[in-house]
Amino acid sequence: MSHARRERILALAALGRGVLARLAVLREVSTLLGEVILAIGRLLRGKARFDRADAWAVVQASGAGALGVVSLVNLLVGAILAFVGAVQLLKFGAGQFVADLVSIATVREMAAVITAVVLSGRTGAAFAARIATMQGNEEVDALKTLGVSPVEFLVLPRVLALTLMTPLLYAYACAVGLLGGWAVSAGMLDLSSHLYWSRSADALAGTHFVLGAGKSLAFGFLVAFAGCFHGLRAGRNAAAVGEATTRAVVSGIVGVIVIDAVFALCAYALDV
Amino acid sequence: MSANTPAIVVHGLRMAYGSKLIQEEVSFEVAKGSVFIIMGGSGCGKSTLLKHLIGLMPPAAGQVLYGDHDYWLADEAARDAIRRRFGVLFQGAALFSTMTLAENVMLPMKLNGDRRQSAAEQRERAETLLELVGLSAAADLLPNEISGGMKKRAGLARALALEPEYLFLDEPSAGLDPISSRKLDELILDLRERTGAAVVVVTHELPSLFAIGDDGIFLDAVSKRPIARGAPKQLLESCDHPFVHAFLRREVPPEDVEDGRE
Repeated sequence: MSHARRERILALAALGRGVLARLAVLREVSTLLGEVILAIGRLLRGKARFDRADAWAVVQASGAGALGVVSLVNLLVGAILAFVGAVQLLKFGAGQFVADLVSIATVREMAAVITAVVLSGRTGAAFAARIATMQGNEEVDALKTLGVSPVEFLVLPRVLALTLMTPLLYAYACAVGLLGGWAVSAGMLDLSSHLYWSRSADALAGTHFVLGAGKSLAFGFLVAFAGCFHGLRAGRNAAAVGEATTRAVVSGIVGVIVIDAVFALCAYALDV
Repeated sequence: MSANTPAIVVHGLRMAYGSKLIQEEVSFEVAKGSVFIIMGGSGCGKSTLLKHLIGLMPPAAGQVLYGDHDYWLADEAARDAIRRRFGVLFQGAALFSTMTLAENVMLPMKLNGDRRQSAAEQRERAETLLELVGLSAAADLLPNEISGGMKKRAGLARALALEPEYLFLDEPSAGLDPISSRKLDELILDLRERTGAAVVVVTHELPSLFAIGDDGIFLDAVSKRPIARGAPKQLLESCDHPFVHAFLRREVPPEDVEDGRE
């Protein structure tokens, strides 16, 4: 067999292995998704078994615990939007439209996406690290021998907590983002507060909030799911915790952007 | 189950990770009220065998019977009923790090125990068990606040929470100082006497396996089959397999025997 032919066969074999590996991951994702849906069903029937104190701690950590970083990042993003918008709009003497730009961009896109990215790096990573560490310490095995599904005990509280907390954080992020835009508008453009807020109110429609909140609900689920999925798949050594965390953050952020693009296409198609 | 029926029967077990064979033709019985030792060198599949016994890993072939029930052929409800009779001490104790020792011991009671038992009664039983393993003063400490030996003992207390009929201990004395190890051995023997449980222990700690083992099996990493059966003391005296002979006497085996073994 010639060298070139051998190289082609090896490349084809590597491609095949890569495709099979990705299909196997897809199967694992589908399995976990199915288990989470069944666990939600058991929860609704009052049959899910998990530690309520732990679930409450997760709610606090992924909700109130994230307020600081969500505030800082969204305040700055609102300010940056206003600053970039002001520089361009002032050229046309349309500085007052900064309020429209900041409010629509924040409520429709940035608050939801930026909050989800922050949560992916913060909460999604924490979920992955926690569950991966439990894998390494055989705590997940201990749950199984107690007849408890790790999906019910570990994944369900995390997925529900973050799915429910993210829209609340999104609403808060909208307010903080608009505040950041107001600070720049008032300081740089001498735009009156009354004009900024009234233009923002006029520019915003209910559909912007519905779209943003709907996205944040999907983002919350995705970020939590990615964190738990990579945590449960982790190997049983110290390096595996780092790998699981990295994968959770990367897949969380990429997933958020992909879902955002899908929402954008759907919104365009529906003329929302 | 009659008095003479073995508590656990393993028949023709074949264990594999995908296409990689770990052990095959593994068969043994564990009598009620006895301590059964799974022996062998590092990497021979001792902990993997334990995982097959406690329902964490399905066999490639063969049976694991508890009483009359084949665990791996039973439906989920029957498996659940069998699992409720297990007590498991994992190699690293596997205590839940966000819970205190008392909460760790109470967890099996909350999840699988008598629903009529109040939280106060569960706490009382947890304290009794922690006292049994010499940890009454540490009930409200978190696992990261105690030593490795204390974790093992707390793990044992959790394993005993539901008065198990089957007690599985994975390397209970590994990493412990000789005195703690000796105390743990005595505790295991005491539990066997008191509860009448069938105790399965994975270990390669020689003093422990001679002190507590009533029966056992020796797994071989090269042939990937058991190479000896019997009580450790009996194997020490009568087993003529050169690797088992060297292992139990803590000797270096001849080169041709050691080849391929860790």
